[in-house]
Amino acid sequence: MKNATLKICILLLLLQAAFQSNAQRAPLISLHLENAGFGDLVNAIESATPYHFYFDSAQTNEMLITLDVNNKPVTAVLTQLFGKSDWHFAIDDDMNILITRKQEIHSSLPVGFFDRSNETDSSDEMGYLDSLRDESEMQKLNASLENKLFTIGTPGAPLKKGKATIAGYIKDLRNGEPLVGATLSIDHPGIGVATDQFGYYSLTLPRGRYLLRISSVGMKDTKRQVILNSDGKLNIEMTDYVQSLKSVIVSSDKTSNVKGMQMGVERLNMKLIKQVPVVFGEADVLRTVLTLPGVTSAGEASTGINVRGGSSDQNLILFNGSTVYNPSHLFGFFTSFNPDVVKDVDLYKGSIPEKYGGRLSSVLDISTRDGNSKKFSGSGGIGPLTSRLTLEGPVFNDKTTFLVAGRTTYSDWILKAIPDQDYSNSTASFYDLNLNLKHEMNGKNTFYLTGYLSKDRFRYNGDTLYRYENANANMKWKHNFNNQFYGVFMAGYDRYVYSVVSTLNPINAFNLGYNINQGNFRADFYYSAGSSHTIDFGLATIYYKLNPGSYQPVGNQSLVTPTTLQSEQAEESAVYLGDKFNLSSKISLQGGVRFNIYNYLGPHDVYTYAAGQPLSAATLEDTVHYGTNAFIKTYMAPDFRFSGKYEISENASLKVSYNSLQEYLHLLTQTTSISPTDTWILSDPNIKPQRGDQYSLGYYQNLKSNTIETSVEVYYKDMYHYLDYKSGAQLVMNPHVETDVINTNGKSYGVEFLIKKPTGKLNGWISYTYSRALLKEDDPLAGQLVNNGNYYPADFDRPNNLNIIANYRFSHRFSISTNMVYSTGRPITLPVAVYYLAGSERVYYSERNQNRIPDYFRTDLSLNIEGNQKVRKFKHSSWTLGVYNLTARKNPYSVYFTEVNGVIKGYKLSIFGTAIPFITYNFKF
Amino acid sequence: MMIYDFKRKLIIYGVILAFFNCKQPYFPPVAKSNLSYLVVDGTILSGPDSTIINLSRTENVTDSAYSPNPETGATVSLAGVNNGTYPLTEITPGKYVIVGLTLSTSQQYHLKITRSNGETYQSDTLSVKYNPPIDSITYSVNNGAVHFFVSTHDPANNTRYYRWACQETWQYHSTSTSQLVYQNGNTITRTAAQRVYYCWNADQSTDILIGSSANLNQDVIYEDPILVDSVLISVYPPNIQLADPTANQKFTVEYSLLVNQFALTAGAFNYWQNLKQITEELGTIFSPEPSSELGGNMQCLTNPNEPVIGYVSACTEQNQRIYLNPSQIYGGTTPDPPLGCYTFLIVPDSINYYLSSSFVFTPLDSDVTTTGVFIGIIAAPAICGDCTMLGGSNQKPAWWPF
Repeated sequence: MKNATLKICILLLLLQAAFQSNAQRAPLISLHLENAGFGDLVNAIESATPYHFYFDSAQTNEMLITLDVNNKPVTAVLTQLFGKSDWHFAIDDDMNILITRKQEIHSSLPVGFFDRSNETDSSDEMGYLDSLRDESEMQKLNASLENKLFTIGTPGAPLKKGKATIAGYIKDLRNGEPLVGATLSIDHPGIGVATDQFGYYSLTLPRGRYLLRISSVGMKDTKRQVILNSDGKLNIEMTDYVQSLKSVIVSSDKTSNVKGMQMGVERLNMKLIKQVPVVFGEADVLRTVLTLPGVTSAGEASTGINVRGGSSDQNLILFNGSTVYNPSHLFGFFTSFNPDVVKDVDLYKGSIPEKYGGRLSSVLDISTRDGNSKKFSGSGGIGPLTSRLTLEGPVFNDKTTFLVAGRTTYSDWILKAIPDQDYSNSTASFYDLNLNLKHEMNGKNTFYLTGYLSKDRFRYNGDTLYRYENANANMKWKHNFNNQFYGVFMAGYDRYVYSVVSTLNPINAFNLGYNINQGNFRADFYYSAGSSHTIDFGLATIYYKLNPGSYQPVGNQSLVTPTTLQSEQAEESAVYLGDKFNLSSKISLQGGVRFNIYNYLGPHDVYTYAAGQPLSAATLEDTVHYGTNAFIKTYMAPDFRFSGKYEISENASLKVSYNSLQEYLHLLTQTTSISPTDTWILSDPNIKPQRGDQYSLGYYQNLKSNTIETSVEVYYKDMYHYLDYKSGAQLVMNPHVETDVINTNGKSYGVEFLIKKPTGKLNGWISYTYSRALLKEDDPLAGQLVNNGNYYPADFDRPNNLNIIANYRFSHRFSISTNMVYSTGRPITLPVAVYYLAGSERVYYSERNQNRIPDYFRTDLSLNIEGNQKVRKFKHSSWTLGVYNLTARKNPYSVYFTEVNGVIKGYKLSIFGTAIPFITYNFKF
Repeated sequence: MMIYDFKRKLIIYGVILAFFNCKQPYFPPVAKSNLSYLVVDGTILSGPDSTIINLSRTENVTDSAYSPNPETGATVSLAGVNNGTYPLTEITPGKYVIVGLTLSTSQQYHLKITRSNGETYQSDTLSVKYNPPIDSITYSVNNGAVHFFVSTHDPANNTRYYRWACQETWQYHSTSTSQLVYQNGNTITRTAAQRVYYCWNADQSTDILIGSSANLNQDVIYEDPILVDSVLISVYPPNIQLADPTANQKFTVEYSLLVNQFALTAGAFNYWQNLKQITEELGTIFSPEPSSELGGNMQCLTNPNEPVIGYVSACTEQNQRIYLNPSQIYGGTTPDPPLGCYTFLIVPDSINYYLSSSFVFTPLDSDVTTTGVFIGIIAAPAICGDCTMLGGSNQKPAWWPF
């Protein structure tokens, strides 16, 4: 502020000379202004002289004028005022004074450019933009918004000392959707904040004038000039970055990866996900996540992901805050999230915020759109296997929005096409439904309702029927206590259920069922305590109820003994507190603690085993009965989260982090891929919670004026009490499953390199990861140990991983995307001997995972053709066509030996062992 | 432990991706382990039949054909915990037999093996388990295959775990009848023992066939699938070769299926179930990972850390045999022979040329003019004129009833 005042007090004679002739016959005036606005100056001059000012009030709002002149011509006054600054003035023959900034003065100006009626005192720019439809208008407007000075708090008042908080929402101009993870930063001091899941930000700064730089993935960068007088609100709208293709994209503000606190966090927005070619052409969240550094999977047909050497049950998959246990359709062909509903995806694999807990490896936070708040609209797509439709819009007014979406399949034709009769007699179907409601009651209270249902059904050869289902619902209430402090309260219910029914053999006809249910409540609070502290705290509680197995007869003839395993109950609670602290402009620290309490609750009969003996039916000693809600076993543990950032320069930073986590759930699986009939179990007196630690270190450097982001992250992880199964384990319908599993410890480490070009005609990333994931069974009570208790590679241990995602946009309408994947083949167990037994050759296995399948390499290519981009056009459409596995490489999924007619034969199985072309049609209206 | 079998089906469904997947023969590089473990294959049967214990040793995994590696010269015996020792005799290399064991259900037994080098092995204690009679062996014909099922039940609800082994025997005939045989440069009339029109062939099940009623409220096995034989349903074209070259033979003249049933303990059932998973059910998306197999019930006493492969059970003997004729399978229509057969005339000066190289052509009959002048020998390709060329033997099994 002082600088600006200084500048306008400097007299510059050069300009004065240029306008000498006008000044000669001009009237003289005297002015005494202190901290006055430009308007005061204009009024004073206009009332005392015949001069008339033309100026853009949006631009001149920022000026605070202190001026003391006596009997000087107007020209001299203005020259003194503007001096060396970038302001210019011109006076024409009709005594009109034109004020501009930065620009040359043109002889003819755009109509309305200087129109005073544009002046608005509201710092809320939403209403201002509503009426605008045309793109170029939006751009112009955006430009003028960037030049306008927004006064936060009481305008015109002399600036006080101390701090004030600016807060508000960042939204997409087109549909009013909040932008999650958009960053606001200021250069001096170097502070940045990101918007939360609601697109809300809060930034506390010393009072004064700032240039806010705002950036968000896929959106055009923008900036706002603000004068922060006192606490106030500033909502910001950003425009889509595709539309700004005509102009040069200014990417000077993409510094969030350097300036942000987080490390090991990957953010994908849907626009990007939609560019990545996938099999069958339908944008797929999890498959895109698989292209990120540090994420691997056991194979192509699997939607189970392994993050930094963690098993696939160690990922918390949150869909708008609801826990989804099985995010797949059709045994892993598709991810069960409708791409039209998803807004963006955050993968926390390094520093996991203290807000989250309950899983060891990662949090995959998928947020959905709230619905268009400006107009009723829809979108959808038609593909070879699925179709989908989304409808959204405001209800009554723009305070309430809804979004409903559905997707279904007609994949039976693909089964009919399989020559094997067993498959052509099979039918498959699935669907998923989404319902989102949002109501902004007022500036302080917003309510959200989310519902999700995903169902799968597969009938094999006209008999065995598999069904599985995710059902989730939650309600959130966001309350802003004040600008610096807000809370989110959420209550929800999540359910995963599967069943298998077979009636082919009437005597053995059965119905097997499993379900896991959880009720959640959580309250999260965010407090922005000045520019150097941001505090979050809260509590969360989950009540689990599992029905781990029910096996029932079907039909009159069935002799199946009805069996129902005891239900299991548990309650997992946590309180957490975290603080982000800017130690200096270069060093920031973030520390958090999360205290977890887990109670395994009655009613339940718990088996006890002989102390110091392997758990087995033989060592089972006693059964202890516990009544309803009895505390059978309590596990308590604190989680610590720490991260630190040191900014080496404007464009480079170094970060460290440490995490510890607990997990009270275990997924029991004997297969490489997650199958829908795998069972989740709870920690109990005989099964300890999983526990993990992670240390990571990262270096971040932006190049070429921040258009290229690079990073290197190194991590080391330990994990304890992961459950592996014994040979010949019975994991389904086992009342004492603890006797069939072995406590396993693991370690993983790796280094991840990433080069990312987020914007521009050519955008994308290259990532290379070297990592190892090793497991070790050292349970003294386990009897025979896998690989004699030595470390062995986990199923998903694929040391070398290279991913290249590139998108090139030829024009508004055409873009081409490619995805290249290379990785080391996954470990497999090969036999060490062959022998003859029971009528056939058989093979003998010894050490687990000591061999590898051949390396994996795949290239996908897709061409995206957008329809006409005119905003007024009723319907937008786009086509995506492409080829999955362009080189038709037969990438092995597994290599195995099996008996065929009494002879052992070796085979290599590829899943998508050919080039698969696809075409999908997407529309929006 | 209860048995829930549905997962195995899911494993098969993993091949839902068969539309895109492809399975190629592939022999991965397998390091030579030079392991040589003893394999004990057999079941102790109390009854008039033979108890056969086959002993062999494991070999390195190679891409060449497996050749048996029998454990010869061992001393094998069954010893009662209280009294009685029953020695087994090696009748062919590695095959140790004793006929007509009558074992007591009131005492336990050990199978004892001493290798020729002195290493000794012993089974865990074995109780002779009651084995209920097989109720029925049934079949159905659909989708170009004959499906066989076994049913049994134990009114005492004690048996619960079962294993079966199938032995198929069938009679078939060659396309043409051969009256002649080429011997020492002469074509002479076949003796009865030399006739090669009818042959008998045999096969045994290669899959591990197990079933359990552990999760039923009665000990009932109802139509457990044990065997599938593909059959040639379409009569034309006659040249269709099925994957199994004997498939077309099986149901042409007479067919017999012998099912041996063994009662298992829960431990034995788990062993076989695990072995089946890791040796027969790999290769789909939801296949289990092959893990080290479950230990059997044989121990090496000399070196307790040495694995011994196999699980020896003891039970009373039960089996059942059924017979099927072609009309039961084909419903009256008889399929054409599978191979394109033809006959041709060999003029006298070419007889040696065509018939001396054995296994190529079979002489059928002499061709003479109406006036009785010898003009040559009618011959056919050996696989059309000699049933033994199709894998069987012209020796009728002693028990064959037809």
